Amino acid sequence: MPRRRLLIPLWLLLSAAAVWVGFLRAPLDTDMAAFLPPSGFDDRLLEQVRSGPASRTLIVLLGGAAPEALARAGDQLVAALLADPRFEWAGNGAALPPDDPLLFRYRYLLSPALDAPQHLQAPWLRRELEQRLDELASPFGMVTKPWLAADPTGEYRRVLGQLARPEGLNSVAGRWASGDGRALLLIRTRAGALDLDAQQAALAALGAAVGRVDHRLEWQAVGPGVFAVESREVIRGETRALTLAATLLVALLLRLGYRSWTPMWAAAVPVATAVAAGAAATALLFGTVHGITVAFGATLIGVSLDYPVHLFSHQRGGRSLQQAAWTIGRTLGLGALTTVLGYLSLTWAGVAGLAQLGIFAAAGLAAAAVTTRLVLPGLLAKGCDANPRLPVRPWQLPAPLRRGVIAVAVTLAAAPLVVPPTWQDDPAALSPVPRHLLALERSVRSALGAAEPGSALYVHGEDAQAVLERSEALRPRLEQLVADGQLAGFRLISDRIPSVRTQLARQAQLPSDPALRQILAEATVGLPFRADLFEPYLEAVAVARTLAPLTPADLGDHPLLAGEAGLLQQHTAWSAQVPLIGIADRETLRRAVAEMEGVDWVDLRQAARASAEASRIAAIEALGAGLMVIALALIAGLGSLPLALRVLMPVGLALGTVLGVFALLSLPLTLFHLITLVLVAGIAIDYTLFFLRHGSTEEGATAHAVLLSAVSTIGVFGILATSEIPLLQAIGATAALGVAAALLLTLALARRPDPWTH
Amino acid sequence: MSERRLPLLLALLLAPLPALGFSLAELQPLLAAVQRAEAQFVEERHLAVLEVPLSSRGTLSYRAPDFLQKAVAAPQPGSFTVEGERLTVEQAGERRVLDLAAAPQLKVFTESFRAVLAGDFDSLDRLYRLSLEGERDRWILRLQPRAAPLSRFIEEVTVAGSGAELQRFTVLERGGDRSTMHLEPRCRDADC
Repeated sequence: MPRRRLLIPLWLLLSAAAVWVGFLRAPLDTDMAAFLPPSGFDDRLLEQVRSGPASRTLIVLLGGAAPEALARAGDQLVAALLADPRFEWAGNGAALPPDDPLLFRYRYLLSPALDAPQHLQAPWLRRELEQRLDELASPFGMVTKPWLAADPTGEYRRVLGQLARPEGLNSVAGRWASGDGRALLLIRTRAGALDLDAQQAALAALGAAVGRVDHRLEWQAVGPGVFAVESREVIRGETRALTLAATLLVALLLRLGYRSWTPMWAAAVPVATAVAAGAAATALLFGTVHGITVAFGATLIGVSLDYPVHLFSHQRGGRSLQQAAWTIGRTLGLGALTTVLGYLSLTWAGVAGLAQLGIFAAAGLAAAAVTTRLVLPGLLAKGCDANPRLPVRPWQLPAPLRRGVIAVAVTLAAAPLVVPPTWQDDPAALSPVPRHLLALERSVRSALGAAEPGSALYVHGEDAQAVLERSEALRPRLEQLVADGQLAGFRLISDRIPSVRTQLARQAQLPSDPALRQILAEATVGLPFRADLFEPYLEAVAVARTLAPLTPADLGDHPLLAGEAGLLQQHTAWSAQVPLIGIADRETLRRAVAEMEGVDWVDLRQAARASAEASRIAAIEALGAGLMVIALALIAGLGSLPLALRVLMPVGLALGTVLGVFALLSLPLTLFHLITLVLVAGIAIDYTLFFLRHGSTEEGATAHAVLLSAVSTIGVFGILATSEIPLLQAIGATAALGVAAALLLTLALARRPDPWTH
Repeated sequence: MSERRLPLLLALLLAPLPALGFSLAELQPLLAAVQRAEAQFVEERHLAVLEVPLSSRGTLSYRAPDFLQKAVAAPQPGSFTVEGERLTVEQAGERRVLDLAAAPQLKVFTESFRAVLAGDFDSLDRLYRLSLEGERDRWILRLQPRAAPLSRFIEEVTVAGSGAELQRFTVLERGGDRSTMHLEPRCRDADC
């Protein structure tokens, strides 16, 4: 028939196109953000937090030697990293260098002491000079003396004091150290956290630098960049392992089930088409394919196997594949439809990444079903050398055993009513970042003895100067909050890099040379300073009156301030981060911030809580909606409500069993678990449907096919359950458990056509 | 230096044999034996930046091996306490704690002082060239910095004492500034 003959070339063409679009053209995406549950929080702000300078900062821990030796090694490492263009800044708390020519020259513009109008008047100057005298008499004299002539008011020291950071760290030999004896460095990469290749190169450079300092040192780095790179490695590894394991499992099952190798090659056709179609659909709809999607897509290998398996199992006794296809065609179609709907329900959860998983699998399975029905029979005109033989027929299982299975299932399904399931509120469990990395980050933070980060203000503006000016305007308000006891402290970037406007204002305050000489003469009356001692001071002030103000752009290469200048970053607008310390009452702070113009407060803890709450609601909604749609499709497809109920009963019981097991084992549930239940429903309906439609006429074939498909599905999801990525682990465990329960219940409830009365 | 030594040498040669020169090896255990000591001090600083010398007085306390406190009574009350690597400064009602490792100049200076008090000549020898003159009852210990960074700002440190008692501590800085501390011992060991 001419139409049939077109099918195979058409299929070849489409498959080739799919492979090209899906694998060769679409870029691979590894941004984990796609899999974060909906937060109900301003995404723009979260975006800022994720891509701001904090996201380019890494904490490096050095170990493997005595603390003093580590401190020295830290110094060498900092010097090496500063010379490497990949790093914007590196520091280990080393005492600030005594002379930084730039900061020294600009001290009168940078120091806040000159903001108050009573400064640089004789009384204030006198008080400063008296203090210098006291210092000269003390052990500090040796430190103060060199600066006395040029900087009697100590502005340079004030400026350096502003740069000291961060608060609350331990120190050994004057260098930062963790609580467990390791030296600590903070470094900032030039590359953004999402530029994974650059991050990986930076980490490699870091490792090489450590090795050059001392090859016996041990080092660890934590931070967003490290997570991103590690996650990518994990995803890559997982994809490879999953695909390999799934393929081997499936090949083995087919060989065992059919006692021949031909079905394996034959089954490869729809399975491969499924993967290609899934990738192509994802690429077309989303523009990229996510790494986790590909890892998850490996499970398609096991799930899409259902269709060729049904085909092969129903072909026997001289019947051709074509006839088998015709026999089971409608059931296959309905089963495929419910499964596809099950996967599509993943798109309703509001998580972009999950939507991708759903589309990938739905498209793949649809393609597998179509290929099995229309293409395979044509391809294998001579038939498939399948020789199915079932070890035992399920309806010959003893009645007590079957009753026992049902009883256990009912008990488990009822368990959630008695022992309510627990919800997972820990955002780490919802994070797609591999577990061992999150544990490491937590241990490093506790080694730092630092409080949880994640509370900072963000000041916005049209350009860098606008941000700095707004930051300066913020200061009185923040000081008020500290005075009221609402805050323990804060760090403003404008304290270290004042706006041009402020610098010019300070410049204007500097007295002219004759005026300053007068003030100095008044201030030094009665003090034993040498007559012409302060000439260098007068000179320095005169120079300061002519300096062009410092801008963040000028400080790009400065060893101390490059890090600060990097706090301003530009995506669509400029903004600076203002870390807050010791918040007393979040509500009061929120109200205070709401009044400040151009300032946002990003409270990650609140965001996480909101996220958990929102995802819980989304999960329940999606679960309900998904099951509803599947049920309706089934009713429509079967054309009869009682029949649909008969199909849905073992499936529903299976879902209840899964919930019961989770509740009894106190395993926390997440959005991902509930979504997977819909998936399970979609897959499991397949089995009940086949028993219903063909159980009487094709007992052996149906049982064989169902058993084989179920085992392959349970197998691949079971492999997925061993994943390091919590998301995939949740899906794998729930699906494997659910499909297994559905299989057992289907077998237990399978009888010769003999309707139950209720 | 050698000119000053010469008459001393001649005197020693001509003096009766028992009055042999007092050596570092003999001074060291005398100083090391002191576990606690307290003294009143009067300190004078001659600085090039000032026209008149600065002077202060107070009490100096020492406890082996590394506790040293300078309690200033006049002109401005305050105290400077060194314990190990920590320097605690109390001035004008304010209290500050510093890590000496972060202030190398201060560290080296307090370290030198402490080492003399404790008789830790090994540590001193690493930083300075030591020379001793005089006898047990009147001796002068001179410390000359061996290398940078010390040699950059210190010319010489002179310690004068009698037996295990320190009486005068002088620091001569590069550039001519001089600081002298006269000590009047108040108590030692069990008496404190």
